[in-house]
Amino acid sequence: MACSSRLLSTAIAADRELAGFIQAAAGAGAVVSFCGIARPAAKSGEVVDALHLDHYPGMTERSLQTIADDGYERFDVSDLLVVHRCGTIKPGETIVFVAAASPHRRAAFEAADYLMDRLKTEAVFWKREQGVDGTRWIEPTEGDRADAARWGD
Amino acid sequence: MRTRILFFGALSARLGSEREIEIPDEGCSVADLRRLISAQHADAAEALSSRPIKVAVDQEIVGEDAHVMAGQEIAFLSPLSGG
Repeated sequence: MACSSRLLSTAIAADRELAGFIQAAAGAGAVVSFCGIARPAAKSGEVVDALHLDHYPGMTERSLQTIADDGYERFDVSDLLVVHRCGTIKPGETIVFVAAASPHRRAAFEAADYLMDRLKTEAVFWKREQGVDGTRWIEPTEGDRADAARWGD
Repeated sequence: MRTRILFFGALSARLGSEREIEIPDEGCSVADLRRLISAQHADAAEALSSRPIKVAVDQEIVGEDAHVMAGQEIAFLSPLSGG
């Protein structure tokens, strides 16, 4: 398990992912996990019926693993996991699950935060929100880029 | 030589997921490739120049000077959305 990533076209069962991760990380003193969940409304307030995540087979999986590997190298963590959805995602479904295990809590918190900041800007996906007025492509916000820049990579 | 070009993101919505173009047997630069696609597919010209479109060869992002050969996997990528 130590440092792994997976791309799924079917639902992420975050509870099962976390249970499996905790089991695999036996001996760690801290486990931090994060779920990113599809919102029912766009920033403008419009209702979102679905989110579509296009990916580039091969390149997308490698981008997930590179981010996980970088986090594993950077922080004092024993285990890291990234699970990411692709395809059509309904509001309320999990888009991304990350987990980090470490001897003490700080490294696990930081590693999870780092993974998400990198994923939000660098993971190889093309996202569009589908609503009543058609679809709208989404790009990282200035806030997302500023979050990623905090880590100085 | 006929070569398949892949499109991702908003580009694929506009141009379809792939097109075929003719490139020289000795290959060409990425910059040449942009010109060739625009010349051979008029509707692609604006799409390829309107946004910062990156090019991946064999799934690695490359610069405008990179040399591309027929048979390599060539993809034009709209700006990434991230995860």
